[in-house]
Amino acid sequence: MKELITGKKILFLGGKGGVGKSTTSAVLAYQAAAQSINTLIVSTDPAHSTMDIWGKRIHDRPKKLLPFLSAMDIDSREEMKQYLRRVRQQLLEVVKPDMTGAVDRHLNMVKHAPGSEEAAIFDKMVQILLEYQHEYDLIIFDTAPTGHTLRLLSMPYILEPFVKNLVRQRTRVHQAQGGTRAFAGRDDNDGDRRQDPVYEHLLQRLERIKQVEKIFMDREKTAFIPVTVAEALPVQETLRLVAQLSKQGFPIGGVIVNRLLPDPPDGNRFWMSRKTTEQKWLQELQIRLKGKYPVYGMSLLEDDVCGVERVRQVRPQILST
Amino acid sequence: MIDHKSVVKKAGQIFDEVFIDRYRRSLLREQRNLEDFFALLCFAELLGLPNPISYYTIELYPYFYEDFHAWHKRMGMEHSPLAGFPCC
Repeated sequence: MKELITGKKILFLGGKGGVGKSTTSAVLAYQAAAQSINTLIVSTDPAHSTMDIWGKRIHDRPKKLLPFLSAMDIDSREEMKQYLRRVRQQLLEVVKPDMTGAVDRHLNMVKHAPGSEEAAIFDKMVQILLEYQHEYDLIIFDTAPTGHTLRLLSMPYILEPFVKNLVRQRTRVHQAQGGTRAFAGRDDNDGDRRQDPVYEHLLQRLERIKQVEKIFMDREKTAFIPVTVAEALPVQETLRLVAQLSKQGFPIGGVIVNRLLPDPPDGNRFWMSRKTTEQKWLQELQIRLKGKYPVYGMSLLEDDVCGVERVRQVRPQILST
Repeated sequence: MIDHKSVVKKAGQIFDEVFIDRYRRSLLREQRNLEDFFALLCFAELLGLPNPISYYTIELYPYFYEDFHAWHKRMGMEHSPLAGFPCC
């Protein structure tokens, strides 16, 4: 399983709800840390499973769990709150004092507007990527269930053309303003652009989006790792996820199949049947991914994978390449 | 005797009023149109149009606030389109 982590800087783990994304993140992070690779787990899942696995409270700053292992949590509500608080302060500087209530009502509506929450998560993810990529050797993003993840990963491609267009339109405004001013006998065309905070904000956004896009597409350093279990629905969803990720050009490191059953006791029809079903779906996955992406397996443990001791015991084994 | 200087000056003024002012006005109009269009792109959601980056453009509100009232009037809205944001 070393090749899953070796040489990588950023890993994204995703998959259907409940298949063990957080557990797998913890396992990979532990294995990396054991090799003295300074690792940061970032949980974007509102389920906060990372906290339960390590038995420690995790906040929006990295917290050291082991010598080479830290974890942090993205709280989208908190992110939105901070961002809106900043906007509010700036707004209050320009509006009449008796409008404070109106400003608050409006900003509160933005908080619940569709897309706001994922934009907030994306923003924080960008910040983490840019801020911590030099401090840590490896950053593992434990993402929310599939739909969320795909949406989050496609954010740069949705946002970029829009922000680019805004920058272009703003430039046209500057040109027009420059033209009117030059006509009035003032020759400071460039003044606008340099002093325009709107333009500055937009350029900054665009720059960050481009940086993240580059990180997402870096085949050397970044990998997306779908996690699944060997059952009908999760396997089918995983195949769709793999198809979508590869269609969008994201590098895929391999698929991890979690909770593989031990050999069933002879003569026990229930467990033999379960094992047969599991093997059927495992084979389906392996056949469909053969020659494209490696498939790894992790065994089901006797009890929950909680705490360092348990996390240490699990490790993905390569099943096919 | 005709004062040549004042005639030239007068002619210049008339020229300014007829041609230059007209040109200046059309430049200003063009500038305003571009500014309005830019504001529309930023705040399309206020008009009920989908805006995938509205979360990112609200940080631009403070810079547009002063012109906001004139803008929504030009966009054909008598009253502020922001519920609970009465600028007028």
